[in-house]
Amino acid sequence: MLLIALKMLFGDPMKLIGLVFGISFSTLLMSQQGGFFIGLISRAANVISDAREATIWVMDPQTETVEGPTNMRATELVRVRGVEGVLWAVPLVRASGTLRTSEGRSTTASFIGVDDASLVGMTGRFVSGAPEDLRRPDAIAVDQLGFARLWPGEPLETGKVLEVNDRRAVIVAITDAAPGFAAPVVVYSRLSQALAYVPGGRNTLSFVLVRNVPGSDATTVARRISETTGLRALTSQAFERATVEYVIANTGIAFSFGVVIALGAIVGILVCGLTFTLFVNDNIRQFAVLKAIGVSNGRILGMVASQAVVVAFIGYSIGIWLSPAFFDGVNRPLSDLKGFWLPWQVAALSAAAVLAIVLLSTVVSLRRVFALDPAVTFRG
Amino acid sequence: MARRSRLLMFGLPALAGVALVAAVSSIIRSNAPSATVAPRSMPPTARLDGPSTAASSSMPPTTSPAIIGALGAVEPANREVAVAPRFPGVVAEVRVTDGDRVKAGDVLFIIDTALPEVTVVQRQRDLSIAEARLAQILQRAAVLAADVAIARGVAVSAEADLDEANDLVRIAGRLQSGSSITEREMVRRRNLLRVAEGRVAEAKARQARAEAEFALVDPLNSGPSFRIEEATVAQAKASLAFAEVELDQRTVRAPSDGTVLAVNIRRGEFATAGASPPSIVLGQLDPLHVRVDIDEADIPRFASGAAAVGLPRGAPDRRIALSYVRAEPLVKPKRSLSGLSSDRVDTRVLQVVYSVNPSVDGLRPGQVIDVFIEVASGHAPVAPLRR
Repeated sequence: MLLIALKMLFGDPMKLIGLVFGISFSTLLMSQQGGFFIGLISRAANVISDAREATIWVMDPQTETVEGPTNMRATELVRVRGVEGVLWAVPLVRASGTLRTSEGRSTTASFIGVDDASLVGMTGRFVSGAPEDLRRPDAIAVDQLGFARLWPGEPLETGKVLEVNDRRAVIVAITDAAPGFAAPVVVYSRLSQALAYVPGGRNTLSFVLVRNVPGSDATTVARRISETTGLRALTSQAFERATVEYVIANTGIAFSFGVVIALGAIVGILVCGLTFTLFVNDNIRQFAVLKAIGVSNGRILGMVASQAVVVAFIGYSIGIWLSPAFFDGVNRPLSDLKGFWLPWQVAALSAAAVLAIVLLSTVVSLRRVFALDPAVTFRG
Repeated sequence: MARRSRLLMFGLPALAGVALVAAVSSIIRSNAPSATVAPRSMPPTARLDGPSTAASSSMPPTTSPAIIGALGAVEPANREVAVAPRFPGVVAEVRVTDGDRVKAGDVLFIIDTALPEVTVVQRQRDLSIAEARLAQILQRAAVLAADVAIARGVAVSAEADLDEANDLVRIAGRLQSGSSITEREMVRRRNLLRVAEGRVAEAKARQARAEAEFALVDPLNSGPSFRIEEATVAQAKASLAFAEVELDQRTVRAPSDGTVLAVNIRRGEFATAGASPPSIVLGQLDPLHVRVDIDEADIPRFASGAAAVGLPRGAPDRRIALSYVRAEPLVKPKRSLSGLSSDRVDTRVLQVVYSVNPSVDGLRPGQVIDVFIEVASGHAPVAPLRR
């Protein structure tokens, strides 16, 4: 029976290709847009995920995201150090600044100032130079994207001098830092250096990065820090989540991507539904014969469903291959779309959506067959 | 049934399979999880399960889970002594360089002395004038003493003359009875007596005058003129001494033993008191003190004599045991070092002083270190702070 179903399916290449194309397109649209969405909003949390030494982030209670911190008093750092369960705590300042070259090109950047002594809080991916180079005078580490924006077409090289808020800065290292949300270019420097570059307010401590004592639970330590100091302390994962949730809640990004993903699903349903309906209509006589020889409605549903699953498999495979291929294509170090990827969760959700689409289309298209009178075979 | 395509029948599923494998591998590649990593350089930690528990011989006793984190600044035991000149002026000479060890009284630097030198010369002249005047008075006293002697001699001879005249008159009176002497002779003798009496009176007056004049300058009995000159000399001497002190104070000396921590003046610069930075900074480097700022919120957790450990920045393996000295009685405003021209107070801190041995611990005055202070066991954790 399944063989018959497959023979029926592959017997009509045009419709088959139409179905596969519809599913592929729908899959591509959903997974690619889903990937874009995740990639875009997770940019807001990239600074957190790049600081891989820390397990807990401590911030002012008013701070919502890593990119818009409310600074704290400098003494909060030593207070956090005194909390039980804290292995170490280091300061981190985040601010915005403008990089300007002597050629006149400029770009805004996220400035991350890390602890002078330990250099904790930086990305671990260095393309050129080393973290230790940041100890030099006027030293900054810029990411490849920023370098490409400032010196388009030039090979990546350290030693270039530029101007940050009227002060001299030397690029001593080039990182592959994950791009930021507000400003894609990320610049790392020592904290003392960063404070010299960005206009300072009274308080110059954006975050305290904490590592909990080995064997302790980061969540418990974070809660203890909150209770002891009155600050907001979150584990890295919780802070990443909170940042992403804040971006979703405070921008229209989720809505606009949601609309596109829904359109993808609707296109898939329409194409599949219509093609399957045509398919069933074309083969209505065969179905009538099957019914006449005593095949039950459930059997027929199974046949068509297996056709649908095969189509879904082929369409989904092609679509889901195109999507990461696209991301692999655009996720270049110097691309504006750097840092986008296809999360496996999105791929899985797309698969589920495709399966739902084809099964729904099957059921809808078979409604006529279920109501079919086997006598049709013997008419006309 | 329509014509079946063999290519489609086998090719399409095969293509799908290949695509799915490619997709899965790509997704696996791009979804590599990021694990927590160790810092390149270990940040300061007070916990014994930190990176290097046996790093230093001066192993701290911090095993208590409750600690107070604080910042400490290394300073000389007698704090920094800012040496300033008493008189503002151009620096003529700097005798010390950074790091010199000096004893109390050693010359540090000298302010230009041209003006006080001139004053000293002037005052020396004034003194010689006054001394010459005094010598003059003494000389005059000798002259006047001779005058007195002359006057006395004159008086003696006048009195002798008077005695002679008296005698002549007395003899004449006795002779008169015998009429052996003329009336004229009698009158002459009486006149002689009167002349002699006048001479005596004059001589006595002259003597008195000479004596009075001598008394003015008499050095033995402090005659007024002598006293004036004497006082003038004394005053001139005092003025000279004053000028000499002013000259001497152009030389700035070390107020106590210590090491020169900073020399902020050069020859030819204008030095003044109250300058910032101070002209010369002195300090005693053995022992060194660590002045630890404890946030006011942590003060209740701090107990006098609490054990503490210091971690110099950049050397996370070093743990320096600090010995408690004292806690400052006054809780002070802490300055936030924002780099602005006007740093503002952001919290108040209790300053606690600990001492370290500089030769063992290699700390330098002015260095900032991270300090962890043990909280006395049994102390209740600090109450939650709500802002």
